[in-house]
Amino acid sequence: MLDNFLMDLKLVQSELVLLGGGLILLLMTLFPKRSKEFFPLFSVGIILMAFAVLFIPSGSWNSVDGMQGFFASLEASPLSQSFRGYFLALAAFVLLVGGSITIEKEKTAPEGYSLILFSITGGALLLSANDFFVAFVALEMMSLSLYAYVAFWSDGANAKEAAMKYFITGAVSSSFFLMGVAFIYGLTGACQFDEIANLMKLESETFLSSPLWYLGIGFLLAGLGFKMALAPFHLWVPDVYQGASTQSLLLIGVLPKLATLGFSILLLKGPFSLVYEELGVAITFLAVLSMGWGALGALTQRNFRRLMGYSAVANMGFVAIGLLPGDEISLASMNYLLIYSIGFVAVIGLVAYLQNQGLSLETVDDFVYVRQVPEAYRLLLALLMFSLAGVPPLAGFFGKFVVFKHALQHGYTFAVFAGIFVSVVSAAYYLRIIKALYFDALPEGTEGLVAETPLRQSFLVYRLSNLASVGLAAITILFAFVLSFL
Amino acid sequence: MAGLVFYGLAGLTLLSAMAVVFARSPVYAVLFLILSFFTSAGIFLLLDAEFLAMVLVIVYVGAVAVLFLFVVMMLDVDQKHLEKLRHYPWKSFFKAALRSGVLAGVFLGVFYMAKQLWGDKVVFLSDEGPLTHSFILAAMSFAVAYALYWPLSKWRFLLPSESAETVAWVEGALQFLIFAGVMTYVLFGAPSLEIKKEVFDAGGAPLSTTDALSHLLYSVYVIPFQGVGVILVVAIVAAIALCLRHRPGVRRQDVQHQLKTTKEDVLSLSQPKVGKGVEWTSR
Repeated sequence: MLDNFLMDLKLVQSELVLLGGGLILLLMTLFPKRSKEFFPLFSVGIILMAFAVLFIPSGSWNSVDGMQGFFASLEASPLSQSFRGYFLALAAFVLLVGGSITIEKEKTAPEGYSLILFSITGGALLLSANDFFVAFVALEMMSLSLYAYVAFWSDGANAKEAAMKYFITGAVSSSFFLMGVAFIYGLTGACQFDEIANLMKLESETFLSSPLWYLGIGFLLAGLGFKMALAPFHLWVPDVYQGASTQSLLLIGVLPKLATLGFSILLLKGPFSLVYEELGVAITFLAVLSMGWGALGALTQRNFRRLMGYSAVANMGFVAIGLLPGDEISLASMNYLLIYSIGFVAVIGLVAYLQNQGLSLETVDDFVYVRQVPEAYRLLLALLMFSLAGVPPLAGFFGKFVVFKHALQHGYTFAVFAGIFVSVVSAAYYLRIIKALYFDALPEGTEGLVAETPLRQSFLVYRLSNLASVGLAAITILFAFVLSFL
Repeated sequence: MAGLVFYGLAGLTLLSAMAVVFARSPVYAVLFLILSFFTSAGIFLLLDAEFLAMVLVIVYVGAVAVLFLFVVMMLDVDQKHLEKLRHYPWKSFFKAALRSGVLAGVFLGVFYMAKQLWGDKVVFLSDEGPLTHSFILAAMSFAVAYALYWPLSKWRFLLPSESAETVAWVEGALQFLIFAGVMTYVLFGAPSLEIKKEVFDAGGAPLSTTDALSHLLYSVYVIPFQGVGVILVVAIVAAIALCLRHRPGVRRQDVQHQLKTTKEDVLSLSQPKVGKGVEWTSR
């Protein structure tokens, strides 16, 4: 009995580490006198520890073979383990960049970081769920903490609007998800993924002819689509991206998307594998709509943050192309999302860093002022923009390439052509930033206006934010070589 | 015997619920509400749902009703407005009670006639059928609701609509539906609960619902259960972090500051000259 329990505990080791870290941070509110660097560094350390602990059940990276525990409500398959690994690594990156950049502007409170750790716990739990109950609770754990974190830094009208919108749309999406679960439970009488998959094989005739089945999957996809900001469900994105603080933007722009995408892949490969083929049309619809709407929306934006929001919607469209059904387990979408997320974190982090230097980078036209800081930043920004647009030697191109290759191999020509068309259109708004960076003239009278405000930043913060953004940019660029071996 | 206890508890519940409405002091009303919670918990106990009974007492009585009491005590209730309630139209109440009694009697008569005619063929109408109890209770509650709402229609200031009688009818019908639904659910749901219990009954005595629930919660559903605990922690942290903010310009009580204040900080003595007054100096 106890042995069983200890074996089961191996499945949640990383979650337990994260949870413990969050609770310790909560206790630290009793001793508030600590240096500002402490809390972000502590959280990053906790996440790295969870990352290290993640692979203990197997002993090696990819050799876990469907280990289940807690009455089969959790499962650690190679796929889910690697997703959790990506998730935790990206979370550490995000906290390193965000924490070091926002340290000066925002008050450092341990409870904020404990909320972040709880949210990451939820995300990691979601990726190992083998049961709809666990999945829903984990999804709620992840999103509730994020709503609270966004509202935590909401000073000013825009920020309050962002917090409110994020909370309400998130609540609606959760209810959609739950509705889908209810339909599927009503049809099959099972909540465990294995049971559903077995029932599907046994009674596929009954299920596939039932409208409840498709209604359930539709509601589930809608709920997950809200979290992933896919097109008909993306309406919260621009306002939230504009209003949220930098740290919250980095978190909500990256973590829920990765966790829900990983969960969707696990769902489509597991309990819904028999209907996966038939969902091709629906996924194509979502993908094309997201890409088109996102690209057209971004074209008309002057505000940089809103532009990044619409570009996120368009990029999630490309991710959805990678999600189209194929023969073998294809990770094209996860690849694309990882490359995009690293680029996104690098861009937002770099821009926030430059804003800390005293530059005002609200609109796209403001990017002319970037030439007032050292040349390297301008070059980095331009390279990142080229990478997001998908120009060949950079990582963004390889992400798109892998996605398109996957879709072409399985005969989704329409989605591929729509994707290529949209990436040409979307190059326009990335190029507009590059035009402002290199080709626009500085406005009259501002040539000498170099940002000379001395930064009240400690050595560590300065080094960290520099290091993180430059390092991420380098990774974005170098990713090309890694992926070219695939 | 169980029937006697049930009707006693149910009657007490109804009486205390009525007392909630009729009590002149809002504090008494909340206390009667607590009494009705206790008696409904007793009904749950009769139904072998002791976990629900305990939860009702702990959550509703221990937390919700006490909060109610706090809120009610903080409200500034206008006693003059309450004076109007004293002149309750008893005459029309009795008339309405008579009418609703006749109505309920007609309902029950029709029901029993149907039972006599088709009782062997239709399960719903047989003695064990779930509809029997729910129908009797629903008819009773309908009668009570009708008797209560009819005199209320005399007091226009309490009702939102002009045609108060319609409102009374609608509300009575609603109560009927709700009661019938709840009772049907309880009586239909009970057999399925029995089946669940048998799953965890390892050949010995049948488990109580608390046992069955706790076995499920701490074995099969332990991860969601603990996850909900984490979510509650998140909710508490969020509520405190979002509400407890030290904004500049907001006045708040600082106990340390108050305790440290000495006489010299707040008190100044002066000898005013006649006709000059004291000059105000702000600290």
